[in-house]
Amino acid sequence: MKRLLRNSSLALVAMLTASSYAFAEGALDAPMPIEIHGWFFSHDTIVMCGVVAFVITALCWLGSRGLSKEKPGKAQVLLEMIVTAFDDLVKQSIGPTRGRKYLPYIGTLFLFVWTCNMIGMVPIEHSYIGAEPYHDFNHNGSFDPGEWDQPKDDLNKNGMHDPGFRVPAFEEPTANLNVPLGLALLFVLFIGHGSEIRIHGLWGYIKSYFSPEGMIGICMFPLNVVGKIAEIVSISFRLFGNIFGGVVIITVVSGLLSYILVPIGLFGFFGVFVGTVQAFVFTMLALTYISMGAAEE
Amino acid sequence: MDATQSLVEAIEKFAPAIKSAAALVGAGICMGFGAIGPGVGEGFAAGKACEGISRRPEEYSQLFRTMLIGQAVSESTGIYSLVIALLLIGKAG
Repeated sequence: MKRLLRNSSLALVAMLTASSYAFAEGALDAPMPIEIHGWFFSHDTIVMCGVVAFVITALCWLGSRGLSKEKPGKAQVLLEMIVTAFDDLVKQSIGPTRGRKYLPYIGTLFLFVWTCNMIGMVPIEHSYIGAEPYHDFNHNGSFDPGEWDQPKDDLNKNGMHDPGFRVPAFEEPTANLNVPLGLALLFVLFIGHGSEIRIHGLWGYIKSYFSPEGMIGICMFPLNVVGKIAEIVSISFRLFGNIFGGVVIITVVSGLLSYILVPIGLFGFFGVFVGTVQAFVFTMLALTYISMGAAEE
Repeated sequence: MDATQSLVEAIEKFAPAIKSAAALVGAGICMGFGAIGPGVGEGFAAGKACEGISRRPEEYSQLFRTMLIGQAVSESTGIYSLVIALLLIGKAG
């Protein structure tokens, strides 16, 4: 149990973060994009993925210090509850012996997505520490209203304006499509299809695309291919749409009602409830797609 | 001939406004029709779960979990229409 906790908390969070970094490029509405060779990376999403991974790693590391069988502390009881719940879940759907191998992946996926959904409630906005006064970016002392509409990031390109240290907004990384898509690719494509190839062999994997035996299976091939692609699209768009829709609704309705007391209820529903349910659903569906190929007979 | 020309000119003049109006109306229609399916489906799932719970109250947690997952899955068409509506609002400019 001790090794399981440490492994799942440290190694897999690091792996997950790396994958999220790789796929977290571009955004529908990137606030502070960083351009590298024509690819746009969303500053916020990348930093928030790192923050989430750091938070989970730190909490698991702190909680799993000084484990003992005789006198378990509060943190140990909590962590054991989480691990046991996912252990039961994975054993039910994959199998008693093979399921254990998938426990760290599934548990880490849930913790990562759930923390991603919760981090939007931390009230930190975009801000610039140590920036020059915004109206004086031409260094001629004059206020040029024509330049107001331009984004702050463009001002830095000619070296005229120093934006200072950029503090990223604490908003959900899962509200950027690239993070759920990266997670779906990692879990459904790499782990799900990969374990299917490993368990049933390459020939068995290819044969699963012609699933009903005989002539009908050959006709069903395009449908099966579309079905496999639709798994990834639906799982990622479901998480993205729910979280992004929640963010939009919170912003719009809070603005309409002048930010008086109502945002607490909105965050309670769209942040806590929908975030938890969607994290659980994402995890369960990933587990289902993995268990389609990896389940014990 | 003259009337046709002036009509074409008017259409060209108002083309951006028509485009954004069409995008906004499309977003509204998309969301309105897209919300019917998930509403009916989720209500059906919740009703069936209620029946099941009233029949076997000891299976409450299992039924509730299954109901939530089923509802979240049947919600996906509504989520697709939400994404499309947001894209259309972005087009409206």
